[in-house]
Amino acid sequence: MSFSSFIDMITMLPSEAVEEYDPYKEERLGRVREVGNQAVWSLSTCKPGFGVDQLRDLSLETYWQSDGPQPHLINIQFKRKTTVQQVCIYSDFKQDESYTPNRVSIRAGTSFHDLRELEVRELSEPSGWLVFALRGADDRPLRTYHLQIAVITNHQNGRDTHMRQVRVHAPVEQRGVTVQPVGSFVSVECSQYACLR
Amino acid sequence: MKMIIQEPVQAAIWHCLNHYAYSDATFLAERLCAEDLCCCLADRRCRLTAPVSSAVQSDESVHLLATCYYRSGRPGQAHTLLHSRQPRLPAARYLLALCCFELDRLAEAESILSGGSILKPKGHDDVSGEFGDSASLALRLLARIYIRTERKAKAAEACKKSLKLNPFLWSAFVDLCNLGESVDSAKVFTTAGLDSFAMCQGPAGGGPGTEPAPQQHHAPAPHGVGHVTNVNITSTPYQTPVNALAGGALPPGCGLTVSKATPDSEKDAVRGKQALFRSQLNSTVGSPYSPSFGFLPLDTPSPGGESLPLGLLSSSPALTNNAETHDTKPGFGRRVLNRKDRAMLGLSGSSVKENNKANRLVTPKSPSRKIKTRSSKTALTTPNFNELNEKNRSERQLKSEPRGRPGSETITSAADAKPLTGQQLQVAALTIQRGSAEGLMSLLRDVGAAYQQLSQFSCRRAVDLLSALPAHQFDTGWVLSMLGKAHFELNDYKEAVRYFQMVREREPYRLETMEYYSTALWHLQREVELSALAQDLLDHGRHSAEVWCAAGNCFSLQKEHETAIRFFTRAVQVTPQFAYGHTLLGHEYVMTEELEKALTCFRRAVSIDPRHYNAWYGIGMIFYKQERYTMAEMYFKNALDINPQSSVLMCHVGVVQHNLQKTDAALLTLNRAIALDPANPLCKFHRASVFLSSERLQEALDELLQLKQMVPNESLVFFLLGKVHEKMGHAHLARMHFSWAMDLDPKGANNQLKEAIEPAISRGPGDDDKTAGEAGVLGDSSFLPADMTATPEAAEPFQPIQAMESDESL
Repeated sequence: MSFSSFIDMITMLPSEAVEEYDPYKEERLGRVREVGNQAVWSLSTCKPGFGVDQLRDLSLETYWQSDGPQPHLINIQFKRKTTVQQVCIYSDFKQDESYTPNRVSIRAGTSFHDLRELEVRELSEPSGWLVFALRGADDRPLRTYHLQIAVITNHQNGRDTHMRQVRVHAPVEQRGVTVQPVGSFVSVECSQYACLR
Repeated sequence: MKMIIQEPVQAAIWHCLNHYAYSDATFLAERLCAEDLCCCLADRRCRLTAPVSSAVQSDESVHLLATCYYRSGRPGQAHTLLHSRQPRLPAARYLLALCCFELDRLAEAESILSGGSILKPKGHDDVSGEFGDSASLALRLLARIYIRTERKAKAAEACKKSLKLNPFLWSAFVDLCNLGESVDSAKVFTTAGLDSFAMCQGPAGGGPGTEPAPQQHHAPAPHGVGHVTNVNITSTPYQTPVNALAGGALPPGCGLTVSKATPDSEKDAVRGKQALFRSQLNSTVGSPYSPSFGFLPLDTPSPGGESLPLGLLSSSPALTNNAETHDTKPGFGRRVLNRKDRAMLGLSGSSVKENNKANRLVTPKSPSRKIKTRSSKTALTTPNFNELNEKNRSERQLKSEPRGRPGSETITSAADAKPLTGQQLQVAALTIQRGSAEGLMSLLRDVGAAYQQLSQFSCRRAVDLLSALPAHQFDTGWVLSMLGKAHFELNDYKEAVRYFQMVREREPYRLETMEYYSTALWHLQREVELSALAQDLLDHGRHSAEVWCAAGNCFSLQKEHETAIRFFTRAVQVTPQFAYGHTLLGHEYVMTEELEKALTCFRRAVSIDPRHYNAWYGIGMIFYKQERYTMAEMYFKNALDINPQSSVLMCHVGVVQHNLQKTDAALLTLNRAIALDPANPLCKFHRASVFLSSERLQEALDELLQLKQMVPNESLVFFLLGKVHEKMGHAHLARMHFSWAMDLDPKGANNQLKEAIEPAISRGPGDDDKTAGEAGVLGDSSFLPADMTATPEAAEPFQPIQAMESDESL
């Protein structure tokens, strides 16, 4: 087998990650930054007590339950144009069964009227974190005012959907004051001199 | 009639204050005030007493009440009271100004202190004349107002004047240094310029305190010395450091100088007192330096040892008993007012403060309290409060007695019947005081010189000076924390942390410089220590900005920027004038990409403290992120002007200059940085990068190889080496270095590595398969060293083999 195909095999893994992708860990490591707090969240419908707070609390036990016709929408509106790298959604078929989303679409734009679909994904019995990597035009990082997560259909044709947690990640602007476009220093001996505080 | 009521009441109030029973004191003071006011009005109507004295009395009681409010932590109430009554006592006016300052009413405070008319505001000399003994503190307060309102020149002038009047005001010196003035501590900290120690000793004899009331001291005998007109000296006894410490029992008529209660004087006083006790313990009386201050030498020049009073103030016995840890006798001088004095002051009865022997003239105590000697311990009896009270009542009739004193309460050399004249006594007293204070002054000179160097960022010099301090002073929290800060400014965070750890061991309650400790730990990325520190500090003081800064740093290190922002905002709310809190908040906003908010924070920090170079640096960073390199350079240079020995700043300036295409200037700056601080690997790194981008590849290579020795674990060094080799055409070496770099970066923090490796891998059709086949996808280190020596030509032999491989794959 040639080297290049070997590389392909290693790098192209299904997005329902083989090893558990943990967005919290990524945030803690500083590789991504959670920017959901800079946005206003709204839902198309929800059952009382199962709304945005339950979607954004850090608990996987609580969830959002919609209460209306499909498609169910989560709208994330930023105060200013924000660079978004990926959206992570936690979903578990074993717990939610017919409430588990089946087809999810991610859209972005400036307002409700000019949202452009970025990705549509079919899920089959997901269990864990789903990562939707987002790219803007020309494959550059996405910068947007409005992000929308749409649940088009559910498993077993369920009407309403459960969503347990959503995290929105922005890339971390790592570049320090350097001549070359390198990232940050790895060793403490160097990084302590990299900036003043 | 009212006279009789007044004195015991005032004594009771002072007693309460000295024992921190503020609610009791406040209640009594309110009653006294009301009584006073009524009598005052009555007097005026009947014209029985001179308006002056009644005014003085009511002023005093108002002042007393205001003091009670202030000490209970309610400057607002004190302010309203004083504002409505408008007392004329300088001490009361000073208190009013202080309250205004604390309530942020700067204009009002300033007008009280140096008001005058709009057309002709008073100069500093007028101020000092007007405030008498409180002058030094009034000027100090004025300086603080000037600093807040950004009038640096006037602030410097006021500080200098204040220090001239009272060299014990360390905080004035600190402010002077922080303003960037170069001050010679040797000239500042000297008692030579002092005519008397009255300035730093509290109530001048006078009633309203402006002119010293000519008190007659019937101390005998001539010593003929110059113009010791300062009666003030003799009236000192009431303030001694313990007074200040415990909130002092100040005699009512003696121009209540609440100024003593200011933290400044208390600090000095406390220090003196500590030394005092130490000295007593060490019993090295009169030894040259250690413990050099805080006690009066045994062998006083003046005969009769009158100079060393041993009296007790009425409230002081209890006070001193409580305040001291060991059973030394209270070193309070006692000042006895004779009848004439009292009349002058408008006091009719004798002060309760006075000792059982009325009208005893006692020479003043110097700022330190030490008394004669332990041998006199037995001689001294501590009259208790009741006893004093009784005697007080009888004192009214006592006439002034010129001489002799009961041996028991006074000093050892009991039989001193030799009378001294007032003048002699005063002079003698002054000399003794000077000698005692000299020890402290000498220490302050050294410490001041070190602080001055630190504020000018000559940190190495400061470290030397601080290390030269005597061991017992060196081992204190303040000195060690200054050493920590000095190393922090030198970017030597390990040493800084070491010193701060020592501080924490010795003084776990110390909060002052802990924000620097937390930042040093942040730089070193020591999460566990930092969170332990934050927890400990939060236990100790939630009302202190430094504590919240430490907590914020802790969360920032763990990348929880939202929480860090919350904590830094709290720090800023707690102490809005704390510049570093704003700076840290700004840095956090930069991390969360909220650059406008960050800019606001940095600007606020700079307006609070124009010499806060971290904030200037922060503004520069914001412009750098926005790629406005010219502005960035300007602000970085600003910061560098303030702190010229920071190699990190120089590196930043160098990089920015390179970005502005000023490559030569950049190299010059970087060379300077390397010369200044050879331990900083980034200077070499940046220089190598500059060489690389200017195509000076061999120099870059040399630089990076040296750097590799310095920091063998740094992934980016290998990355840069890879880039150099790539440019030089050594694709194989380049790839090797890239894979090494990736190895050293397990967290994959640097996406650029992958991007850099991609083209390297896809280049050269033969090579990549080879290396993959032989060495695995990511570089196999054991394999590499051999290849390091391989020349690019070694790639050739691989070619034929590849052909065979591809055949095999089919």
